[in-house]
Amino acid sequence: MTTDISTTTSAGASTGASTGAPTHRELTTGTVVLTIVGAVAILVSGWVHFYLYFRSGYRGIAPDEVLGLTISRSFAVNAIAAVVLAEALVLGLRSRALLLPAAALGAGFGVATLVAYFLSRTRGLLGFEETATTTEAVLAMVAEAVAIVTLVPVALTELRARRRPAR
Amino acid sequence: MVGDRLGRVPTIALAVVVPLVALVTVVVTLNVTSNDASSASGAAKGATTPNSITIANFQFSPDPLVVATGTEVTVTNDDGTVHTVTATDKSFDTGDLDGGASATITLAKAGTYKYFCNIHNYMTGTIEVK
Repeated sequence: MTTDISTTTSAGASTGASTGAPTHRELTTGTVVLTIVGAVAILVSGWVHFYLYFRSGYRGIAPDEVLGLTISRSFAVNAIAAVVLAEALVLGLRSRALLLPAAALGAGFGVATLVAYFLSRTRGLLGFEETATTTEAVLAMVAEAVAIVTLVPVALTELRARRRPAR
Repeated sequence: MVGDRLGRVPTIALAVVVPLVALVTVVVTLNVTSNDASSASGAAKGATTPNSITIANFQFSPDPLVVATGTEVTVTNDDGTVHTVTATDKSFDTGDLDGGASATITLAKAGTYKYFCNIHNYMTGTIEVK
């Protein structure tokens, strides 16, 4: 099932269709739903890091610094990146050229954040070792897993669509 | 269908959804934070009294703490994660302090006591007993 979500001209013709196949806006409902769920999941992960930064004392952790990045700053970077990626995903529903990189980066965001958490629980990350499995950590892990599960299929679908010859 | 409905939403409206949600979330979170900060600052004021240590933002405060011999020192953990106040020479150890929890330490002998968090060992502090 496909759903045309292109903007339409006054004559009702798709702007994408009128300018050629590569820009034609035709996304399946499934892709739209997965993209929105992925964007929400990324925002949840970003919010958890923002919350921990301001509410749970994660502002003051800087045992090690690599290229200006500390554990504290990585929490802030995560929150900002989450908003940027969620915005790119939502805009990707309208500007399809954006959807593949946004979905790929969104899935990468989920993987990188999960790996960072795993490292902080095992060998340590930037000199910091996380010791407790908190509610916030579980919420973030679930959100990041959802982001991966939803955005990998979107990225793969978009990749296949780009490789498909224009009709 | 989802796509059809989305297609009718103006691009500008679509573009402002995420920033708007983020802005509202930040304001709400910071508002809650500032309320907590008010109560935390109350605790922090307590930390400036001669016989208490506050843990906030993964830091001990004040550092160093100077007290008279035999003073009972109260340690309060204002962070959302578990910390300890453990002497380097093992002369005292609060054990695990959950967020919001307190413990007391009594130092009967004069000297300089270095301590750390046994969970986050880069967190260090000093108590000078005179």
